Amino acid sequence: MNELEFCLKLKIEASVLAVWIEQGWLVPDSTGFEQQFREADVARGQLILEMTRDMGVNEAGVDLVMELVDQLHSLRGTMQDLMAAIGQQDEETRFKILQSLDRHG
Amino acid sequence: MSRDPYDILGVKRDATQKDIQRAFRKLAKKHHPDLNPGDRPSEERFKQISTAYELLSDEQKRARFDRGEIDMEGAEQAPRHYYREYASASRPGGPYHNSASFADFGEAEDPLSAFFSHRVHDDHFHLAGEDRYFSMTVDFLDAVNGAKTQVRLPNGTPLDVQIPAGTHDGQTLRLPGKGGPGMGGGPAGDAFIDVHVKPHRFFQRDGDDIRLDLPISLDEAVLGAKIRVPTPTGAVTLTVPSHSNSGKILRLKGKGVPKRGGGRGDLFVTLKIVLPDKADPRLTAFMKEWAETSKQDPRKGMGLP
Repeated sequence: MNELEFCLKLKIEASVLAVWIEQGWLVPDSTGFEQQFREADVARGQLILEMTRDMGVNEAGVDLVMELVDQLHSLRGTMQDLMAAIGQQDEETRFKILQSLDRHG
Repeated sequence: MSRDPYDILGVKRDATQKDIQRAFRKLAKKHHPDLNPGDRPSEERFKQISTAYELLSDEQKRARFDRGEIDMEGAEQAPRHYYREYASASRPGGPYHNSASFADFGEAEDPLSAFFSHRVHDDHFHLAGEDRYFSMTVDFLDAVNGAKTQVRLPNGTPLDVQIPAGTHDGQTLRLPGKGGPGMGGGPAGDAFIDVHVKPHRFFQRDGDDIRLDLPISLDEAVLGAKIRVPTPTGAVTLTVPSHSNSGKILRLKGKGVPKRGGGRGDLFVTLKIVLPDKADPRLTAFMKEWAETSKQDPRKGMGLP
């Protein structure tokens, strides 16, 4: 969806969206003729909106939260890959990994 | 689940708008699905919280609820997609991928493939295997001459161990690469083996030398003899000079322990005169006769009266 559709969907002013993009909280797809927003961006926008409107988080706070949320999801993605990879190993290897975790844990 | 917005937010019926807001913010921080990406049930809880808040934060809706005109169902929110549903698969290349948490792992952009490939420059991923420690007991001669043996690892697999010639008691052998396996192309750990050397029936270790008490008969001591002597590498012939005393030490050069830098220590043979197992009347008779003429006093000089 384009900028207008995005603003209508979230019921926000274009100037608010401009701030979000400038802050780097949203990174629309700019490869085409006009900026395109994904469903993920809508969900992301809802989170930003809830924080600023309902939860009393100020701009600096949102900045911090989005940075950490992104880090968290990247870590979770890596963690999922790792666990999937471990899950594909034979039982002996998985047992060894488990043992190593026990020892260091 | 409670259908009462006051219960859900944990506020009293007469709570102020400020109280309600404070209660909502506290709960929202704790239960917002996007701030708790791994907490599945948080979605239902947050829905309750925000529905309750929407109802109570609006004075008119709150008044209508208080009068019983509307209930929680009326304020029900449409199902929505939280950001975490899209972000749960954040991988390198995505617009919101942020690898700052891995920056100290080496190849921050894609730590996993860096970990499992050998391309990493950072030492973090060349995890060397753990070192393992064992102890073993070896025979005296195996330690002196060197030997091949095996230790059994805790998991049952045998590990070949070459005991170098000249190993001494208490020495630790290091077997490079025989410890735990490395990760990410890292080298395997080392195995360390504490060696305990069993004492020998008649050889005694003295550094690189070996000492041996060698029994000889009376006639060999008096007349001299060529006798066979055990050494760590097999028996050799030793010439006992005539008139050799008990306690006399003879050196067999190069018959000791192999030295680290080459060459060998010596074997020191201490003669020990041994009388015949049974008293021999002829010897007794001869000694009586000999003692009458002998002037020897072996304890001369000991200050005896």
